[in-house]
Order: sequence, then C-alpha cells, then structure tokens
Amino acid sequence: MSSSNYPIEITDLVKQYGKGPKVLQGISMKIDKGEIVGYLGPNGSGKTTTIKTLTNLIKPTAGTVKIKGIDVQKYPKKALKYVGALIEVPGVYDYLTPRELLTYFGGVYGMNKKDIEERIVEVLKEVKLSRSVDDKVGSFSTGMQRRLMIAKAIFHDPEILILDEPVIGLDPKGIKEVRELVRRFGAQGKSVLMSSHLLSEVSETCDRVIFLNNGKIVEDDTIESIRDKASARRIDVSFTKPQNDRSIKGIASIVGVTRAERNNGGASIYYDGKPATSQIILKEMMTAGYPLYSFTPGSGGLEQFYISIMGDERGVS
Amino acid sequence: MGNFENDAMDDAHNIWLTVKFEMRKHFRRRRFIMAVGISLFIALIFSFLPFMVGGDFPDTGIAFFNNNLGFVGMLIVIVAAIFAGDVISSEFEKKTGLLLFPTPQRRGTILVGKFIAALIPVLLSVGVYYLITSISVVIIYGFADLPIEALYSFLIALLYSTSIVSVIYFFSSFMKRSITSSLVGFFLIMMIFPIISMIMNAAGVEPWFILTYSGDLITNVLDVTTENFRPGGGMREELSEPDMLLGLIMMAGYALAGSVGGFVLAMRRRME
Repeated sequence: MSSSNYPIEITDLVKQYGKGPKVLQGISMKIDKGEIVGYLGPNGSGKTTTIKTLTNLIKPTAGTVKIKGIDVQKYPKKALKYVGALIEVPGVYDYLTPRELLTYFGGVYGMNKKDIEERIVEVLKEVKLSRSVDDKVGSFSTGMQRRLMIAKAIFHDPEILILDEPVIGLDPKGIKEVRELVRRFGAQGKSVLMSSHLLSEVSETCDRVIFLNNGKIVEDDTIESIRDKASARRIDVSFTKPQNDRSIKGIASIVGVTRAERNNGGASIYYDGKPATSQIILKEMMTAGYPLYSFTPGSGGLEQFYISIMGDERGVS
Repeated sequence: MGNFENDAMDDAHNIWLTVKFEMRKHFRRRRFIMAVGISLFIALIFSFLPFMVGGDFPDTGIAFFNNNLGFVGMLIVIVAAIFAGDVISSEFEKKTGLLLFPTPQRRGTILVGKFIAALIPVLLSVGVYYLITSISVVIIYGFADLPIEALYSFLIALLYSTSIVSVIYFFSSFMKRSITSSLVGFFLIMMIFPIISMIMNAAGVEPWFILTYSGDLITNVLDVTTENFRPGGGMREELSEPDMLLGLIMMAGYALAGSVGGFVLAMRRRME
C-alpha cells in the first residue's frame, strides 16, 4: 500500500484487449478530496474502460489504479469499501424489490440491520423512490431503475463516488436531481468521478474536467480555466461584404489557423490561442485583402473548445 | 483474532449473504416452489398411480423404492439445469454483475455462495422425493419394510446431485447465455453420456468414467435387478454395473472438477 492520500490515483494506465489497439494509452490522474471531476470524451474514448479498471471489473495491461492509496488490483476488497459505483447501464434483478436489493448490498458493505433499514428510507427518499420500496424492480420505468442504481451507489455513504454516464435515461427533472445530489456529495468533502459524453452535464456539475480522446488524456483542468482556454482559442471576424466559400477556405489555409467556418455573415477562426498567432492571422488576412469589419479574439465556448481538441468527427452533445 | 481469522470470518459472512440473496431470488422467481413441486408431484405419481388405476404394488418396500428411483436421475438433472444453468452466465448476460462485482467482497465468495445456493434446491428436491417415497413405503408396507439401503441410495443421490450441479455450474462459468449453459449441461448428461455409455458397453468396455454410469449406483445399491430405467438417465442397456468405490470416486471427481473448474473460469472472466 502507498502513503498517497488521493482518493483516486491512476498512474500510467494502459489497457489493450488481445493484440488490438490500446484502448487506454498510459493515462494518469489524481482526484483530490472533495473534488467533482468530469471525465469527458466521445463514445469509445476509453471512459468506461478506465472506470471498470477502477472498480476491478477488468485488469489493466499496465499501470496502477489506487483508491485512497490502496491498489485496487491487489486489494480490491479493501479499496472498494470506500467506493460507490454506477457503471454503464447495469441489469436489474427484475423480481426483487428495492428493499431486498439494498438490504443485500448493505450487508456486503458491513452495515447492520438497523442502519440498513434507516438508510433504505433515506436514500430512496433522496432518489424519489420512497413509494416504491416494496414494488418489484421489473415494474419500474427506465428512469426509476436508473435512480435505484444511484441509490445503490450511495447506499453505504461512500467517500468516493464513481458514476458512469449517470443521467442516461433520466428526464430533465431527474437530471437536475442527480446534479444536485452530486454537488451535495462534493460539498460533504467526498470525491466524485463522473464520466459523460454530455459536455453540458459536466460543465454544470463538475469543478474539473478531464478530456479523454482515443485513450489519451488531452486536457485536464478546472472548468474556469477551460472556459478561459475555450474563449482564447477562437477569433470571430465579420466583413463589410459577404464572403464566399472560397474566401473562407482561404482563411483556413493561413498558417496557424486550425479551422475556419462561416458564422452569421462572418467567420469563426480556430487557432492555438497564442497572441502571436492571432497577430499573424490578422496580418495575413489584411494582406490578402479580406474586407474586415471586426476581428475579435477570445470568443467561443466549451463546445468549440471540445471540438478543437477532439476533432469534429467525434460526437458530443 | 489475527488478520487471517478476520478475513476468513468476513469471507464466510459474505458467502452466507450471497446464499441468502440467491435463495431469495429463487423464491421470488418461484423456481424453488416449482422444483420442490415437481419432486413432490413425481414422487406421488410413482407412489399412488398404480393404486389409483387398480394395479399392484411391488412385493417389497425395497422393490417399490427401486421402481420409484428410476426417475430420480432425470429429476436431478432437470432441477440442476434450472438452478445452476444461469448461476454465473446470467450475471454477465444481463449485466447484473455490474452491480454485484464492484463491491468489497472477494469474487470467490460470490461464486462459492452461488454454487451453494444452486445446490441447496437440488438437494432439497431429492430429499423431498426420498421422503415421499419413504412415507409411501411406510404406508403401504409398514415401517419394518423401509430398507436401510434407501438411506445409502439417498446419500449416493446427494453426491450425484452435487456432481451434476458442478458440471452445469462449469458450463455456466464461461458460456455467454444462460439458456445455452442449461441446455448444453442437460443434453450432455441426458444424451451424450448415455450414448457414450451405450457404445462402450456394446464394445465390451466398461464406461467407468461416465458420470451417468456411476449414477446407476443410486438404484444398484438397493440390489434389485428389475429396473428398466437408468437413474442416471436413459434406458438401461449396459451389461456391466458400476463398482461402488470407483463410482463414488468418479462422482466426487466430477463434483470437484466441475466446481473448481467453473470457479477458476468464473474468477478469470471479466466484464468487458
């Protein structure tokens, strides 16, 4: 065991299935106490693989995964005591009731009968399932089943919560409730790792975002910093007269421009965010005779940032 | 207590929790009632149908036992296929393992608990079958005609049940679909084994290593030679009879190989 105090610490994690491509290519991250971290990436980027490794569902090809300094692969029983997890869309035991399901898991987490009974009332109230405590899970809607799985994840009041796409299947009200629940967790000094392909979800809920693409971490920063970076990587320009597609393509070919696209009679230009590059782009456009009316570096949002680092061929909502 | 004792106690507690949880699932799915109901029904049919249609009962209690036990092998396989066929594969097929496995308990304790919980209903079904048959013997022939060999037969049937559950548990540990592991286990035991046994007998070679052949000990121990059906399943066709010690060793061997093999494969299986 290590002396590390990080609730979650991943070091050089590699996962390769057989001789196929590496799903995770040596990722490392540390999540501190009380942090709510969004793990963002398109489908197939390796988010669920990371989470499955963290919860000992799969073995890494290389690297280590630690929960509160405990190696999950070596001591899963000790490490997973601190973790509440919701992974993918788990199956449910249709013929059991929430009470029966939670009673079993409470026992597994070492809770006594009295605590289990009290906690069932608390968590089912929290996920708005109090009235269905003795109904069969098979009769639940998708959203209700999802809320029950969240209840199971938080049932033993874990120090670390790992949620894989937690809002799938939830209606807007349910999404809002999960957001509030996650924030409450963070406010209690607990750590949350929440994977999502929903940028809005992560930006609304998390303090920090880790962007994953093709098994590599491509960005890891606080939401505020990423918002700053996002605004710093786009220049919005407008023209005194409309420009055709050829002109826009001409902008895209300027050195330092990563992409240019038409935008409300003007154009959005993406670049590396450095002031020197922005100066070069302005100079080149003036030289080329573009009828510039305005040139505004520092615009853009998280979506543009996401696209600029992931490439626009990978889906994100 | 030391760490080892604490760990062992904790593991035993987790096995117990899993057994309770699985048994609750059996009850909720009404499987348990169904299995015991089948045993009860078949045992009663064997016991009282001859009387109801105006036929005669065998001359002795032991012969009555022998007739009734002709079906017990099939009963064991049917009930084992119901309870052991999906014991592991369903956790992967239905993704319920995503709830069950990322918890602070050794996967081994879950697997042991599941094995025990699959075995209990099979043993209980066999118990019910023998109980009804014994009660019938007492009613029809009197307590004095209840043979001690029936107890030996019962113990052999319990060992045979364990070996059958182990074989099906083994298939469940690596097959993707629960229905496949149930069917493969069922047909292996009810068809493939008897066919191999028959071919070997026809070739004049004793099929001592075939599980269903050892299963014949369930009735052979009664030492009555009038049966038409093999308790292991299928028609009686062989000339040879299993040796008691070798048969018991083979059953124990299948039980050990099936359960340990299934355990090892399930331990290695990942939710990918």
